[in-house]
Amino acid sequence: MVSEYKISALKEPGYIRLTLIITAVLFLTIFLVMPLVVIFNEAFGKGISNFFNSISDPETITAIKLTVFTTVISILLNLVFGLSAAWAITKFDFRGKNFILTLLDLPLTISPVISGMVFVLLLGSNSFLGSLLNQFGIKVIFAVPGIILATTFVTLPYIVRELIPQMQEQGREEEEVALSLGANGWQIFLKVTLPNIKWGLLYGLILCNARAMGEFGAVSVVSGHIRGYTNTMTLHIEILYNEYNFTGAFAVSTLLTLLALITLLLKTIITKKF
Amino acid sequence: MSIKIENITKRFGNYNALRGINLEIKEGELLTLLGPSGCGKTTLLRIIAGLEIPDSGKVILFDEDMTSKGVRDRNIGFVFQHFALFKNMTVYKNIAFGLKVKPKRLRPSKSEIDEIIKSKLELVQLKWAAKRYPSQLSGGEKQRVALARALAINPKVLLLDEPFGSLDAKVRRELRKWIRHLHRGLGITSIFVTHDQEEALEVSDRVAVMNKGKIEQIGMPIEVYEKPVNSFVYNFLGNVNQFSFEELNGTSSLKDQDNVVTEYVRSHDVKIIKEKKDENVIPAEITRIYKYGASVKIELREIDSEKFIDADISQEDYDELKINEGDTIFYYIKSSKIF
Repeated sequence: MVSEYKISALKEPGYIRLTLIITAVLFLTIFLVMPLVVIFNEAFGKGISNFFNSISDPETITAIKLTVFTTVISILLNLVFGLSAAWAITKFDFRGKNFILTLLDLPLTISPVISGMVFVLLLGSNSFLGSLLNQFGIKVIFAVPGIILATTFVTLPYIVRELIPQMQEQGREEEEVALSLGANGWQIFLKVTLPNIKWGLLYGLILCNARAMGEFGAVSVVSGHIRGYTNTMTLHIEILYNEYNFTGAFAVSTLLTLLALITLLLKTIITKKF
Repeated sequence: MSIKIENITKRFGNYNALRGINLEIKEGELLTLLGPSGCGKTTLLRIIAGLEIPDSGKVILFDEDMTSKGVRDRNIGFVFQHFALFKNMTVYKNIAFGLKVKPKRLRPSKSEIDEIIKSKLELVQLKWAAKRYPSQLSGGEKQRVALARALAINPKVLLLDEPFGSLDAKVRRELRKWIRHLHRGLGITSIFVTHDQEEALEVSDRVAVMNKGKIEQIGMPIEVYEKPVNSFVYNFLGNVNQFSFEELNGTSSLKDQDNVVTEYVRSHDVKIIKEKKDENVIPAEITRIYKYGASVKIELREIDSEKFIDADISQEDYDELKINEGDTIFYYIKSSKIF
């Protein structure tokens, strides 16, 4: 039983509570709710058939396909990379560990546009590597491989950064016990380490997925905006918008927004499981 | 000789964790590595296990040089202070782990595994807990599961790293007795790491007292307790008061004036009297009295020097003296030791 007295002792005075609530609600409305309403309103404003026409446009469909393809590949790459990097950093001691940790944050700290530029300079047709690859008929910049590369680079920290603190907290004792019981590296990873980090890993994957689908800056630089070929959803939205096709732009935006909402929902579910 | 350690050294950066350790452990023996934290005892244990690589020296297990071999090849059972149970597995699966990860040609059949696990569960008295998860067990139960898991692979050597370090005092004492009996029954060569002197004296066949990366003394518990080779061992194995030679004898050191000679006095060698019997007694105030075990512990403060002294007296003496906290009494020293 909680007495009246205790409840009032735990509460702030009424005017403070009211001010705080109003501030929070206003902030959320202006920055989150209103933009969402605008997006859905613009997309569906001219009727549901218009919306479906917009998203079934062949160029839109290729853009969606390209985004999904890019996202899947970069998530897979980051999954392998993220797991191995986190495993190496948290379960072993070696020189240069802090340097690697700093390096992992690089994609978060530099502007995506610059990341894109770096790849253009490194692999573009004027560069040494780019011309070398060209001789083998491989085109990276202004082509799908470049988009994947740029997306992977930008989303690189998400999985690793999610895993490292969790794995550090868990320490190495379980792995060491498994080792003393005769398990090999692969068995230890599958049976001991992975079950302990599965929720963190899934959380990292979701964040990585959202970021990969929404990436604009880096992809914009390396893609070359070739319609129906190297246009991702975000780039396609920009083109539609610049052509005053607002319904089209916002229709594609709804798809990305829905993805964001689903991500949030999954994130909430997983955070509860942690 | 089942375990032979030859001249092991280990550095962590600028820190000398181990400085030339030589140690031999007989088959079936339970040896304790005893020392304060940071003395290198855990590092030595981890080197024997193969979890740490020494900078120099050799680890020989059953006449085979294992120094360059990995943990997996050493056939050791390792028990950690914080249990390190696999959280996502039941007690049964935890114990089965070491058997199930064996390569196919060496792996026992399902029914054999089941039998081994049942016998181990019985050994640690946890038959009822087979289907529980580690989070549903108490600390003492968890550590018994960890022990069963280590024993399931039938190791040649059992290494225990402060196994009772994170348990409460009562459970510790129970498990101490229990592991002593278990060891007698199994006869498995074991090394036990602890910083608790009482624990070391109770469970071991022999004790190796370590300090600053070196072994100070090895011997049977009674030997190291009664015939400590130096002041560190004496100090570490029981309550002790330190006096400078001058304090006790009124003159400075016998031989050279520069060296301050320290005399060590066990707390049970401090005697308390109410009347001043001669010039050798020192006046002091009683600052604290409490009972522990068979003796009464008394904390004294010298009237002249503010120095604190611990005294242990028997219950009978205490009843006879009729002293209270705050009383002024006299004390003298029955015997002391100089190294």
